[in-house]
Amino acid sequence: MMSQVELYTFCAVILLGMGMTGLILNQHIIRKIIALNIMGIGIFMLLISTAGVHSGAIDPVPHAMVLTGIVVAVAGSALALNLAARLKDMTEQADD
Amino acid sequence: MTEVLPVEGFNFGPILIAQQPFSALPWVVMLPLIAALLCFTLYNIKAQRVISLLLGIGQMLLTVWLASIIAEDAASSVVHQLGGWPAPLGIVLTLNGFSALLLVMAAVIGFAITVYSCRYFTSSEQERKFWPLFWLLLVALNGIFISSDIFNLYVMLEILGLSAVSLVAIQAQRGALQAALQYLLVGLCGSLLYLFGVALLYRTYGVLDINLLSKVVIAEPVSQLALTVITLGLLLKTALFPLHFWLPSAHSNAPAPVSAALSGLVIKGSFYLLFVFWFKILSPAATFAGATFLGVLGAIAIVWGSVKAFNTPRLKLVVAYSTVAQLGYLFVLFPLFFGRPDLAMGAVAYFIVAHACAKAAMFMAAGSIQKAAGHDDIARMSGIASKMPLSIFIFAIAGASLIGLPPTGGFIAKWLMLTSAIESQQWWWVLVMLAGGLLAAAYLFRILNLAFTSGQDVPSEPLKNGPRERLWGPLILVTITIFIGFNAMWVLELLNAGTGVFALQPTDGLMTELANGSVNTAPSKEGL
Amino acid sequence: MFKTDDVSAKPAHVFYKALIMVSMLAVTLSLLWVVLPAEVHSNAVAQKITQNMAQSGVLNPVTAVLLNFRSYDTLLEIVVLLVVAIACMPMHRGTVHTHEPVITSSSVHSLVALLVPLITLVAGYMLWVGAFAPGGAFQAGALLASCGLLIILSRKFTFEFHTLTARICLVMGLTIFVGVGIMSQQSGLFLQYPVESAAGLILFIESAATLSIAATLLVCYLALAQANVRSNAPSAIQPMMQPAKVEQEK
Repeated sequence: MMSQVELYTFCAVILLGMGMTGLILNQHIIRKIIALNIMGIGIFMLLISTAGVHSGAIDPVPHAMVLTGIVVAVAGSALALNLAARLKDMTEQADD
Repeated sequence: MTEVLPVEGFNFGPILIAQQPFSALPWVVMLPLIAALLCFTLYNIKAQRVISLLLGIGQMLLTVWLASIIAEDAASSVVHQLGGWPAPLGIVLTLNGFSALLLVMAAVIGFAITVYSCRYFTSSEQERKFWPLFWLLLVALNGIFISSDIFNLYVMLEILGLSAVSLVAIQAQRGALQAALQYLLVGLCGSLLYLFGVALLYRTYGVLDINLLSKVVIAEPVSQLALTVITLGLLLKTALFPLHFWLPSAHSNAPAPVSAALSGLVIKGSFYLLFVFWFKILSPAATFAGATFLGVLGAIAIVWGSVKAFNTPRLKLVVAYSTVAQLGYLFVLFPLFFGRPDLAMGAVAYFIVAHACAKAAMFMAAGSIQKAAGHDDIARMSGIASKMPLSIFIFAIAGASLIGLPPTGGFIAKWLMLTSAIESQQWWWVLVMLAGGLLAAAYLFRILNLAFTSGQDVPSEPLKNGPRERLWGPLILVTITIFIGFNAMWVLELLNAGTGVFALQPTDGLMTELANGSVNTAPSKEGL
Repeated sequence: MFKTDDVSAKPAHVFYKALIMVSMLAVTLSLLWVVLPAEVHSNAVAQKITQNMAQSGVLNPVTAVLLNFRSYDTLLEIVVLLVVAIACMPMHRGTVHTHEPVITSSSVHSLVALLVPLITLVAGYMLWVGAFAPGGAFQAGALLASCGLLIILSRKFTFEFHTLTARICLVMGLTIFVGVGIMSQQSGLFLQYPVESAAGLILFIESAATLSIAATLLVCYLALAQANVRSNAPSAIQPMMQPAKVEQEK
């Protein structure tokens, strides 16, 4: 069967594909943001999968990259949600 | 470079800019960061403007000093190992001729936008948010030009994208928010695709440093996939046709200084990154077919953008579509780089600088026209030249640079591009470039014609002319455009210093294509 | 495709959707075909890190990479958070919004009163233990932000975004980071901590960063909550749920 690295890589690429499909196909903004997050998680998984390959010390650089990436993804999602909420607020005010 | 003795413990000496240029390099990023922190903490608008003007001047002096260091010593390249850790352990900052030129460009255009913005905003709430976000945008831009680590470049790209989106969303109008949200989604998708490429490269080669990576990359499926994915992500951010759909609404719905920064600077940041990846880091994986494909997309962008610009009724939208068209020229240079790298390098750098100055000036002039007239509608702007002569003058000179008329910088850029196309015997690009120039003339003369002739049947509308001082900003930029039109050699000498790094390495892809005769080029000089 | 449609947007044609799905499936399969057989790199960088761990001042290799070897990246990460905090802060100065508590049951109230100090303690522990085990500034900051969230959800309170204290909390982490970076130049190189004080400097930077990260997360949440206050909803959470319900009804 697959080794651990191959299994993680497989799942990572599947997540990436799902995320991109969701981003393109979904109309609702919240679902698009979730799809972007899924894409991000797929990429982080790809990075982490290489950390434990070699025996001996694990490679900490992918861990640091993923930590930074998570923070950046959270920041991007927060901004997107904020803009979407302001837009919705403005739309509702216009409809009143 | 003089030797520096390591000192134990804290050393307060090198806080101020030291004699060694390499210790001054992070200040290019730290100075705007300190400006942003100060502007955010002091919420007083006058204090923000004073800080921005002073630190803008400081930034210009710093970048010009660094560029002069690079220019006088052609073989030098400034290297700064952050934290004292060499690559691949830590992050390294480097500076060569091309990035020094772009740093100066960013500092000067940033200063011009600063001068303009001091007199632009009517809402103090918007201005309070504008200043820290603008400085953070400059932090990201300068960081992209000096960084030498591909993951660091990802974080810089994100800062650039997020601050650009936030600047577009300053205005609490529906159109601006929608444009900002679309820009944000596109930007995040592009960054994630870039990160995917970085993940693939790290997975395969194990290094993140640009210089080390360019030594170990070979042409294999993974590196080509990484190049494809990175190109796709960066094309989304650079708005090449057909991925340009977000640009017109984002750039036209933003306040004028933000549009100037977006079209002039932000797009060039992601383009610079794309250029570095194609011709330095992943050059073994770059193929002539891929470059030609990008060139074809660029050609379509030129025609498409110009046609849309001709048909648009709104002034700022015309300028935004003009950006889409002008970016096409930059991508037409990609296949030319395979033919004659030295000429194409000069053309790329010149075009970036000339277009940035011209487009920023054009957006600022359009912004002041919009502020005065209260609307954006070209049809109602007949005869406006007599009432706002300075704005129209700036608009006209910037337009001349975009068309490529002498003696502007745009003319030199087009000349270099045409020369490189002819010398590398790829004639079809010449036709595209000439057509692009004519189309740009069409949509710009349409506006200028209307501005200069006052129609009898259209009643002249009252104008509220704003403060005259804000037009000093774009005036500086058009003066520079004409200056670099006259003094081309100064810029080209700066470029020649240290741009040997952009030599195409002869690898499997290019060499076999040359051997098979499928690449119809003049004998290309290896390196510069 | 990327347009932000309202809830009332018409669904795309089925053929168009199927075409996109098939092409994305093809893209994913080709990605798998390229990426799976690719060999993973040799471990050169990790060996270098192990060799230099003694000079980094901490025992945990991830913290050493984050805050010593590649501290520039962490600095920029905090800049990202600052950008989002500035962008999310509401515009109008002086408008004080009173938020009604979401959680109204009294047993949960007393549970929250018990939990908040405990979570703060755990956050402090996470900050401290980052030098030896997985932990650090970002984890501690997220825990502190969750403390703040619990308080917001269960108490009636007001929040002023535009006070000087709020702004200082937001920029504190970055200021200290940049300040330490400038001050600790040894041979003209930025962010070069002297070896004997590296551990203390890292803890100092992380403490300030924790405060800023927690403040940024809270500002983002509160800005979202405030945007929804005007939507006639009894609580701040409901408007985000409504679009999903309308979707299901279709």
